[in-house]
Amino acid sequence: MRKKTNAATYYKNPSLQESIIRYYKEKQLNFVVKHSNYNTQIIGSEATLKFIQTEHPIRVFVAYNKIVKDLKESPKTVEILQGEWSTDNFDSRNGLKPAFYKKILNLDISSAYPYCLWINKLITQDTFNYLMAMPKTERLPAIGMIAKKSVWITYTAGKADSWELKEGFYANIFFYVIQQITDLMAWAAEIAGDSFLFYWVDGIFLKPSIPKKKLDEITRIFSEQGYYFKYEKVENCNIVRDGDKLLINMIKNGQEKPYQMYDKNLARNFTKVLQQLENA
Amino acid sequence: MAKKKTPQYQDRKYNYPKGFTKYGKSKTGFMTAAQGAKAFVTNNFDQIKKGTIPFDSLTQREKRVYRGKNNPTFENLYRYGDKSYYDPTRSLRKILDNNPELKGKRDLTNFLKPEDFKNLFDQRLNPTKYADGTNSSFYDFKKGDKKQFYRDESGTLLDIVTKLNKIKRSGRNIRVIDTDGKIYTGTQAIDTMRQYESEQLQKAIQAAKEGQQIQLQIVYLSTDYNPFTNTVTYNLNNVQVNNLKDTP
Repeated sequence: MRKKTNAATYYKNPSLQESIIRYYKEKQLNFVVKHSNYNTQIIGSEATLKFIQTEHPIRVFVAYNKIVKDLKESPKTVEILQGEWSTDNFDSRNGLKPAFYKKILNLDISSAYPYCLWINKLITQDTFNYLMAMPKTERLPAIGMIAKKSVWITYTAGKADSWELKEGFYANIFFYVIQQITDLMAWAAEIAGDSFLFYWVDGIFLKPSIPKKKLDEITRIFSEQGYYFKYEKVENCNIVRDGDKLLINMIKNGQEKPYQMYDKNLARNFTKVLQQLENA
Repeated sequence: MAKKKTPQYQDRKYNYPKGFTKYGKSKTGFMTAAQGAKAFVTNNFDQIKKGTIPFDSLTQREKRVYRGKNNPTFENLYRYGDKSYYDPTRSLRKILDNNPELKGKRDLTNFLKPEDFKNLFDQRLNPTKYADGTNSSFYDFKKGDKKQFYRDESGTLLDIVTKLNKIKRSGRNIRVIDTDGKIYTGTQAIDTMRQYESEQLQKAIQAAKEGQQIQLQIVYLSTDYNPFTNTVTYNLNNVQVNNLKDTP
């Protein structure tokens, strides 16, 4: 039986963490360091020290457990776990020119990830309702936890002698959700054509001159796929290009919002040209 | 009797397309004729080329724009940033046109990384990396075809002799030191240089097989300019002749 150790929790403090690890190494102790997105743990034989980045309320963990329980029972889980899903969740128009737009149109899918899980029958109505009752800042970590990843470094007599990467069993479900939303955004971008500027996670940004017919088609598709959406007020959108990076600044709902993304089209275009040059 | 008036040339009236904005403001009414003709031809280029829109139905201005756009030099001239680049291989146009997103694009500024564009033009499309219009001529044609000069990345011909004729007309004196040490000036100097290039080209043509591509670069390594006499001297004893088809 595993021996129960003393535990203490602190807010993330890299210099303190480093000092403790250095001390354990000097004393030639046996211990394990676990790094994840949410915390760093130093697990010794006498005590476990936990350094957390943000303290989530208990309901976040309850929601996560509810999702995992549903995933275990969903008939679609096995099939999705076997697939390969991309985590790329942004893109811009090919050849997007640096420009300033006084106003642009932003269509955001509301609660995209919970809806995606629900629409795809991965979670029950009860879990969906539980998620929707949570604030957005808690909903996202609860869902994101299914893709949790941690690195475990084992120290023996003060020396690191092995490491292991542990991934959440249902991580691929989270990647599937990302790709579902990205595919929807890419679909909308294709319809928008020249009016498309860029999309980021679950929001697409369009030129205000987009023909009404195209806009209607995009919103129809969102609705048909079972998603709700909202128009956001975006002003003073400034697009700057720095090599293959796009730096976008805007005022969204009265707040300044910066985006920085790689223009993936540049590499795609070059690859296409090279491939055809080789085949010519 | 009153003099018969020749009918005045009239441009078409071009409405601004719906949603056309300039400096962030939407424009209504008519475009200027120059802008309109350009927009009209650009938007209908394929139809004009196919004949769906008859060439004869175009206004004079539109015809002029269309001729410019349909010109192989124009077709193979690209922009990147504030510079123009010429694709002598003419292959890039076909490649871009095969891709719906890049079809017809000539300004590639926001479509490729600067280093990729440079790589493409310097290494993959441009057969000469060092040719310079002020010190070299570059012949680029197939044996059996009419001799042609290569155009550099800005679209100018790499033909130093023709360039010297222009320089001479602008008032600069030309001096050429022949292979036997004789000094020629003015028209004679230019003729001597052309004669020298012809001999080198003849050798390359003779060595090539029928239909083979000839790429002969003649670089004048010793050029000297005297600002007091406004004279430029080319020494034919210090010339590098590169047959690029023989260069690995």
